[in-house]
Amino acid sequence: MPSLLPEFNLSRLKVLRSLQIEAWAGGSHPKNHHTVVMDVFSTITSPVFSELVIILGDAQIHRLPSDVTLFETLRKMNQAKPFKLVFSVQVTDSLQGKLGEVRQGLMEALDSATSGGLLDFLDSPPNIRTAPFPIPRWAWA
Amino acid sequence: MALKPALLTGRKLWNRVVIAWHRSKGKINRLLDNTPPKTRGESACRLPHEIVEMITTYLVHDLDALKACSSTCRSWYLAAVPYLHHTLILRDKRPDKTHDKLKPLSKLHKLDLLPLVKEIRVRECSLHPWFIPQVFTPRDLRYFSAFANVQTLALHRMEIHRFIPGIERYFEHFSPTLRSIALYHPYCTPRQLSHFLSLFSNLENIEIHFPTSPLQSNKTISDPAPVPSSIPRLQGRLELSGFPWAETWKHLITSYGNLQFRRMDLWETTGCAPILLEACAETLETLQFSVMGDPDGKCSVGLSADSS
Repeated sequence: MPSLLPEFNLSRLKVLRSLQIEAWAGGSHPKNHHTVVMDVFSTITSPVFSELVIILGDAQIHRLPSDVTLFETLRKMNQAKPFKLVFSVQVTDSLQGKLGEVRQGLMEALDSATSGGLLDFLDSPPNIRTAPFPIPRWAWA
Repeated sequence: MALKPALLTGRKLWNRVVIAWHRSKGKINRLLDNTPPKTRGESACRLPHEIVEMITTYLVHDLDALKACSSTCRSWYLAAVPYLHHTLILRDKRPDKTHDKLKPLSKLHKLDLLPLVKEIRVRECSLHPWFIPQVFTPRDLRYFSAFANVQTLALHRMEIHRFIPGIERYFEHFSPTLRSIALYHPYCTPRQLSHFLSLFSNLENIEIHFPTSPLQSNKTISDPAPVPSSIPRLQGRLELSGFPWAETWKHLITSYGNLQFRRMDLWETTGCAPILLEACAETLETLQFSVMGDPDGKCSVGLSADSS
């Protein structure tokens, strides 16, 4: 089947270890996002691929446990090519002082997803990370 | 108060001589060692330098605390001062003035602090750009060229095209040490950008963020198509958002061969993804991209809704 997005054919990347996808969780995405992500994911041929990172904004965290379609897609992807799952929250400058709360919120959301059986396809629990928002506040203008 | 010799017994006199000798010895030692005079902060000064450094590293984001540390004694000053002057922020504090825009440089030069600066941020605060060649007096350019240890340049709305030709005069001295460059909303042509990036032969990380809409004003800039001047290493991280020009990378690749980035973060990078992925096929370990939707419910990867 031809790729929906030929510009994102990852089959030539020989040492790709980690794929990180932003703005694809929390329930506010169009219906075919999952198809597109699956399509890109299926082009990976790197023998060292081992990690899939889902990048969230802090506002998306509380919607995570109800995004059943996301976890179903992750299940299919994991069956096709096993990976270590990571959830990473992008934190803006104003939230830097509340990193603990952000992490706690994400842990609770993932606990909720786990207790609902949405993550039972994983060999080990997902990791949690926080990362700064890519553009610093001083350069927004 | 003068002491009456007759009132001093032999024992008392001896004690005074001993005390005077110890004090003199201390003064002489301090002069020889160049150690600071003992003060009330003596106990803090006695801490091993490694411990003082560990404490100051915890305070790198707290400028007030660092300033307080640097006022304690010489050893604390030495530990705190590299962090105090690590990042130099240049901005136009007085848009109404037409001269002395780079006054902070002369102050840093006077205090011999230029070598401590590891990161320079240039920020535009008004609609009219201030960081242009015309603000560099010969003296300012001399001071600007004296930065010997800058590893990161972050330039906000820099009008790169205004520095061309002759951009080397202003930026080439960063080449030996510069590892990372961040450009927020730069104004230039694709080739001017690749020329600018090629000034820095040890450059590893590039971050370029454009506004969501394409830069209309860039289309009016003439492009003299300068030749890239060196071979940047480009082995670290590439972050692009809203970046419209595949030509920049084509120009670098045709001039020097493939890029070697290990990590790539692509957001709304119309047309750039294929050439970048192809160029870094042997080295790319981590790829980050965004999935976006348009109002019709269609979605795209790393592309803006406008371009889909």
